[in-house]
Amino acid sequence: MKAFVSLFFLIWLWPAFVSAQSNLKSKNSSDSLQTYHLKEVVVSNEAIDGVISNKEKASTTANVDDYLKKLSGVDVINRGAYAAEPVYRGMSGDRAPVTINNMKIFGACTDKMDPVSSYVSTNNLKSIAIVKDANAAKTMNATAGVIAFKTKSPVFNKNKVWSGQIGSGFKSVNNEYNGQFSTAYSKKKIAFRANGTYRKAENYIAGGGKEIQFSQYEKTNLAFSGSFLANENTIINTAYIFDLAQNVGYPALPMDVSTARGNIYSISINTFFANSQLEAKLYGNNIMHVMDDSQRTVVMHMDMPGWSNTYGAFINWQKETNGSTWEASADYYLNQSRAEMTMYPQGEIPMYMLTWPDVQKNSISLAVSNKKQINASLLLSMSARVEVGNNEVKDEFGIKQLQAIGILGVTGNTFLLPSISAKLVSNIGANTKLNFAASYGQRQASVTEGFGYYIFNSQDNFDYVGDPKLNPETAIKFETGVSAETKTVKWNLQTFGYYMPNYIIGEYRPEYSQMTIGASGVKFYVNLPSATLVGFEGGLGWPFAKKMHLTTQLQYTYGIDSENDFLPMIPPLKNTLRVSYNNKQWAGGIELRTALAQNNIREIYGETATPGYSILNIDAGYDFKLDKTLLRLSLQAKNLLDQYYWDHLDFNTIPSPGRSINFSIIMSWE
Amino acid sequence: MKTNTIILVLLLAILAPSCQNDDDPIPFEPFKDIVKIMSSPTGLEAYKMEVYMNEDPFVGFNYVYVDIYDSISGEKASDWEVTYAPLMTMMMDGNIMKHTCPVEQPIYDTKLKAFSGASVFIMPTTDMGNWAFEIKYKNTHGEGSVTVELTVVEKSEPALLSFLSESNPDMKYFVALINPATPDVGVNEFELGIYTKESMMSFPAANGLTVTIEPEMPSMNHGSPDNVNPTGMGNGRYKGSVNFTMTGLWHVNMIIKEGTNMVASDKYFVIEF
Repeated sequence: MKAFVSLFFLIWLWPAFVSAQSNLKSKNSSDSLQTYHLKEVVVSNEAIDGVISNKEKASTTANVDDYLKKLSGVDVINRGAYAAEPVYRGMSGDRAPVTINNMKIFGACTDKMDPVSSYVSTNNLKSIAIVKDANAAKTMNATAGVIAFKTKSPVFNKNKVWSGQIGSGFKSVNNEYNGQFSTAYSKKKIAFRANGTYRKAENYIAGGGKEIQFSQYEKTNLAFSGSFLANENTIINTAYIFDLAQNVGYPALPMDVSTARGNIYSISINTFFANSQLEAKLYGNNIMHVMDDSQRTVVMHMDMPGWSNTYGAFINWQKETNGSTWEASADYYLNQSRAEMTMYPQGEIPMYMLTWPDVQKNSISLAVSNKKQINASLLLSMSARVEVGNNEVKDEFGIKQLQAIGILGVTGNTFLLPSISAKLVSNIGANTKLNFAASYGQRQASVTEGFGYYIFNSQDNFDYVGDPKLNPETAIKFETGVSAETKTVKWNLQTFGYYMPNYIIGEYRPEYSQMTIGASGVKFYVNLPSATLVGFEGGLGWPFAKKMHLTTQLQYTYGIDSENDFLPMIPPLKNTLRVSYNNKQWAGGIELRTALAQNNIREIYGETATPGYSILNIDAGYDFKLDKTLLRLSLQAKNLLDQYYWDHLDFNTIPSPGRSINFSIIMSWE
Repeated sequence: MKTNTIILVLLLAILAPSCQNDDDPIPFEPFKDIVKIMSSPTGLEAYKMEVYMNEDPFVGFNYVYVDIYDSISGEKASDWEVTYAPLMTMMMDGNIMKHTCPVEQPIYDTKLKAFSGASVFIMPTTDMGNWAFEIKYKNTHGEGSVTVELTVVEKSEPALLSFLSESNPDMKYFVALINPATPDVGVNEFELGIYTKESMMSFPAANGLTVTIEPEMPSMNHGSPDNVNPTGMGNGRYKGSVNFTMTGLWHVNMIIKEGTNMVASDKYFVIEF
């Protein structure tokens, strides 16, 4: 079956995608797309309708993590200089999964070294958005929200045939050299784009001058997408991403990565009717991740390779009738996750076990949502979604392993996960909107939470074991906010509360002995009676002078469990204040990123109190045009004052990079 | 309507059950893939004897199977009386010494259609000492015996421990590891055979002992949960279970007591797979 699926996709070697929205535009008027040529990534948050806008000039030195941090409510967990893991409102992993063009994709590393966001490069990124409530109905079940990545898609253009871009840059803090290119071609009925990125960096230097060993990385990312207009109303898209990371150090962890490789591919068809449109997509992705510690000084060397293969298909149907939009979708995917651990004691035979016992997940979802303009001032969105599926341990070895720790008669589990949501947006006067949202959702335990086998967490120093019998984690969420936009100022404030019965977290089991040498013991994943997270996000955008703009973004989350103990890995109050200047050629800004101390900690999860910090960044960009070629120079100073600091979410209090002078030059032509 | 049909077709395609083949029942062939030690006429009528063991004889607990059948009719000699008499003959300082070892006398196994017993060889064959394994048989018409020379080897990881009781230095114990014969990750049957030495010619089974076990991976300094201590089944056999959470080198530590008297507190078997 797997071979068949692979073969099927091989035939369509060069897959792609175009978002439904841009297709709607292309249907209405293909000429209007001439202007559609984004050089900056759009980072949007649907809860706040894009109050915070980012007009920094594109730079080759920015990475996906830099964009993620601009999303309201989003933080990242750093384990080194590479592939930070996104966190939304203090929730990460399967609570806030990442999708790429609505495709399900799961990292292959048991230690979360390869969050899905690490498989997309910045010059292929069109947008990142948090989708939740009714908007999330067609994506996937998640208790916090879905972090939806969209990659750039080919653009049909009557006038331009070829366009392209090359760029290169340097970062002083870790001697990163990078290069990137993209090229696009379009004719009447066919369009494609290709891009590539290469980065190579040495160890970075923390503030104050300390070199952080094992923080190097090397990464290559290539992407290709093609679109074909089959007829006036039908477009066929294919897309393919190849990502290869090598020799990536994770200074916060006891192991590094020799190779992480992703192949991500899809083919889709979009058809447009008078008031409706249909999108169908077939996709697959194969992730291989090889963790090793051959460069470290350890008592015993080990290899920990992992594989995650996902194959899926979905159909989306969208219909618009006077003031009401209906959407329905059916979605299927299969994921197989396997991770091995082999340890090599001196003078003895190797020791072997499966940290993910080849778990195959099958999932089918049906969703329907409706967005209706009730009257001039009331917009109501509602959605319902149900996911059914099962997990099955495919390797007999894995079933025997579970038996060895007393989990008998378990070869998998089944699940039925309903979710519903409603959101009301009301206009108060001409410039102000109020929003109220309520939702109920569930997610099934992840592979690690359900089937993980002695996966070591170096932050709390415990081995973690999954429990296949966990109940789905539930989130009952209320959210309300206000946003206003006048000619002079935009602002918003959003507050939220999540009540989460069956919150999944590790719990110490003194009767089990640890596997990892030196570990403090074993934790099993359990369902807590409940957890509660509350918080807010606020933003202000104010063009206080001609060509000058002030933006500020504030976010806070507070999380406790049913015993009123703090939840771990909750970010403290954070604020980003930016003053920027923009004219046709020049752009520049000064940015202050501040976090208060986090003293709401949980020691059993290895947390220590984190002091607050304030980091100053400045940037400047200059564009100039030579005939049809646009040249963009960009210079940034990150952590200008060379502060020694770490964020509360940074793993094992790994210090952040110190001062870095980043330079990049990008040349694009049309 | 058209859309609904497409969705329905897609879902049906997805939901179509995959077929699974049931395993074919394997025909029972008791002596396939095990070691044939010898084949000999018995001297009684047309009866022939074949001797099998699970593997080449080793120091430890060895199952020994004897199949006696009429070579013309094929009829099994199920009502015969069969006994095992292993004997080690050694040259020591010019003197000849003989001793036997613990034995489980065979009984006719109706499933195997052969006699099944065991011999717990307590030392290997050496330049100075040989094992002679005598199989005595008797039926209503007569009796006889066949003796086979066995080359007993020491396993790389000992399958038999011999020691003096910690509380009674006059008492010598032999502890043989019977299971797991083929250790694997997961739950493994853990079975011991425990015997004492009364004299050179008598090694009776030691029943009524209390055995507790604790598996350990010495290089990792960890164990495994949910192990079941072996309990006495008679004939010196003790059965429990041991859990291995991964492959590699394991020790199964044992504490053996007779009532309140400590027999062994520091003995272990090495299990490597």
